[in-house]
Amino acid sequence: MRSWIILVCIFLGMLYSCKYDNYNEPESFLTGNLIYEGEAINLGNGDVIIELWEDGWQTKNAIDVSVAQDGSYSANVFNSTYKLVIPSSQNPFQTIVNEITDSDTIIVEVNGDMHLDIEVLPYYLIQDVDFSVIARDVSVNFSINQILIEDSKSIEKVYLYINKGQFVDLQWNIADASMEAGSIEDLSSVTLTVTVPELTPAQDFVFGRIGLKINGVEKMIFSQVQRISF
Amino acid sequence: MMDRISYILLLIILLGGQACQDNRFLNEEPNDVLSEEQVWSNQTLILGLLADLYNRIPEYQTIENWWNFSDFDEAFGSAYSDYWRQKNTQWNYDEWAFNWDNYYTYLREINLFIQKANSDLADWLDENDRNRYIAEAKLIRATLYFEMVKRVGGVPLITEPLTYDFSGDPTYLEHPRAKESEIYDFILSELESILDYLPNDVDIKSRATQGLNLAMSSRVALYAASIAKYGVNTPEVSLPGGEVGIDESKANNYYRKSLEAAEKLLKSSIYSYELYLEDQEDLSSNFANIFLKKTNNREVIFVKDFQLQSGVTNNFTVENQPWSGTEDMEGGRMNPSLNLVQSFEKLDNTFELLQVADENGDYYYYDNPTDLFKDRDARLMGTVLVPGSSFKNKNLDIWAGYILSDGTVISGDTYGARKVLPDKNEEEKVVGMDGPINSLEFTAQSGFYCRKYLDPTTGSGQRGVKSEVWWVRYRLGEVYLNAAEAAFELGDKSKAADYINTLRYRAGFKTDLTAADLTFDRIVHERKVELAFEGHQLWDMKRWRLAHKVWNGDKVDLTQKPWKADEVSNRVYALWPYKYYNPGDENDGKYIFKIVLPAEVTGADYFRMGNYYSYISDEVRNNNPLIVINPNQ
Repeated sequence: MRSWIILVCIFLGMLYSCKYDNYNEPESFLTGNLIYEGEAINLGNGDVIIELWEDGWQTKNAIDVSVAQDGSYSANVFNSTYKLVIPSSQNPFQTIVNEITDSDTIIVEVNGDMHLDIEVLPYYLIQDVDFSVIARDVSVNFSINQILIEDSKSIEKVYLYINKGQFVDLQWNIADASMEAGSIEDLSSVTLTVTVPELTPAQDFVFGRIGLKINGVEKMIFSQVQRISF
Repeated sequence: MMDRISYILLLIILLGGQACQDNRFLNEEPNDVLSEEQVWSNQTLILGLLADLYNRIPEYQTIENWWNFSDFDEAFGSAYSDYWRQKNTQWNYDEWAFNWDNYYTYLREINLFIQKANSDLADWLDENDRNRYIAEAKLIRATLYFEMVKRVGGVPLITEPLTYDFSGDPTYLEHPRAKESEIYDFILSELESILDYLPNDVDIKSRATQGLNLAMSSRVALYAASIAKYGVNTPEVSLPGGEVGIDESKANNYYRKSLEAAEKLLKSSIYSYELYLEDQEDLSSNFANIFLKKTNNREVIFVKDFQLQSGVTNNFTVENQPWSGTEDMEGGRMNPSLNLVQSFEKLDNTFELLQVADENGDYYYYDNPTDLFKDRDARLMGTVLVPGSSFKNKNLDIWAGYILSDGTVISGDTYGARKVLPDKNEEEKVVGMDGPINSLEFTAQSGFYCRKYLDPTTGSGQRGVKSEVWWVRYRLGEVYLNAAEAAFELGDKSKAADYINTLRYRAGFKTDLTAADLTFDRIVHERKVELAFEGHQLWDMKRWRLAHKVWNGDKVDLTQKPWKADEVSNRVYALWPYKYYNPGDENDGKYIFKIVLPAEVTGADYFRMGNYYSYISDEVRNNNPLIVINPNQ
């Protein structure tokens, strides 16, 4: 019996000691959005990555932060100074040159929870989105607004994606409709229609949004996800 | 007490003295390591070194890595452990990358071999032997560079073993990435320089020969040429330093080199390679036999060989044999897709889709399921086991169930499940032993099994026996295709047609293609059907810059245009036969076919621009800051 008690005490002691062996967990949250003129821009799930680099270590490995489909990001980091970079990998926007670093690198001093919106220049924005439903046909009317006039790129295709859940993009969808750029007559009023397939288990709503593919740019820009009942 | 301690002390001193006496101990030759001098004084040991280098040649899709065939649209992975391959959508940027430590260690050992073979250690060797060893090692090195440049583009070009001088500053060992074109040029010039030192013997298959040298040159030059030519379609896939991307102006020069090497092998009378054509009556079996027959096979140029009862055997047949006739507890893991099957032409040179239903959607009825595939390219039946065919003299049992006149399907959820049909009293089989049954592993979930490389020898399907079918790395059929493509790109369409027609004749085509018939689509198509399951698909799609178009992530239906090179094909489709059940009806017992999307196919392949050249890890770039990152990642 006594040896049992001793063993348990040793075990408890080991648990307690863990507190001293390990590093502190990262204490601060760095959150924010990718924005244009104050509005968050919408992207594909995990399409865009933000890299956080911390100087002063022997080897360099970035902390990769995925940007969510609504343009927000969140990273749990240590208090320190980071260099924030959005790698130029086929993103549907251009980064803005930062005045302090004279490049697209942004220096972020994290000391406690912090909110940082990052201003970017999207090639296009999808606006005035208006969904309507007839039976199982989901229609949407929207306008396309070209933001970057200089250094512009042409539109390749527009898509309407719908999904059962709230993640909606190229990879997350149950049905889509699309239109080639050549068929678009009026950028201020484009209409797409998709029929909702049979859903198992049955549900009387879907989530939908528009995606715009730019020529020579792989990742799409989207409109806000909307819940559509039918 | 004192006595005992002094005894012990005395004993220790005596033992110590004993140990010191024998000073041979410190000079003893190790008996588990061979010294350089020992190795390089014995031909068998030198050959052993070389065999090790051969054995480590990196590859991607092979009969030992057959699951990678189901990563794209060629095949469906019909095993629980492979379903993720069809659910998966995009590939990570580090897919198809390699471990730099492993590859550069391997490279260092090749460089050491070449260095030693050139040193006075090898002076005693016969000059021909010595030159052959060096030539072989250089060919292996060229192969390694080819494998690296295909995966990540230009890499540091190291041709001497590097040695650290322990000065505390290793930066002098850092080398930047060479240009992609420099790597290709290095490979081609190396191959050219060693050609005469290699043996010209059509029977040598697992060591380097002149035949391999030329076949490899034609492939390597063709890759470089098409990257130069088709790279203009993807200007974003390039780096300013040329580590990725080749200048367009170089394309024709590479195409000429490719054609030259291929034609030397095909036309020069000193080389006696020829297409395998032993069975004129059954061209499909003839095609399958290219990969099975090891004697009198003048088509195969270079292989990874296997031998029964030697410990070096492969599992391909065990894991992919038809389930209905399996010799063990598994099989049928890789199912060729309908996407591939419908790509095989009719023998009148037309691309006709498989005739499943008429324009009203009414099914056609077939007495025998193989009738659907009649009069097609012989390579279809040589590559794929279709419903109604047989393997090892056992008929396959691929049918998905009974279909009634009102369209109702009666089927089961296990291999050969039994149920009572309407108006009958007894249970009978309502689905084939080979399925197809959704989500049931080892059934032919695509409706097909693979024939290429499947060993018809009795026992090859047993885990205790396995198969000695070899893995063909280079064969003359590909050289014809290389020559055709290079000639086509250089504008000589009639020459290209000649080469393609030679291959097509062997596949049963009686009408030749004319020069006017030849298009880029034709070239792409011919490689697809001739070289399916031979590990070419990914690299071909990359070099033509078609990968991001064909695997674009859009969930599209099965293509109606299988002849079109850039047609989207990113989901694996299946063709399921059903037996028609309607007693008294003239069609009772006949087969109909349905085109279905297997339940496990939930993703669509999505090849991103950043996948063209795989990611180089942070670790590599930390160790060598001169390494630049690949584009679009």
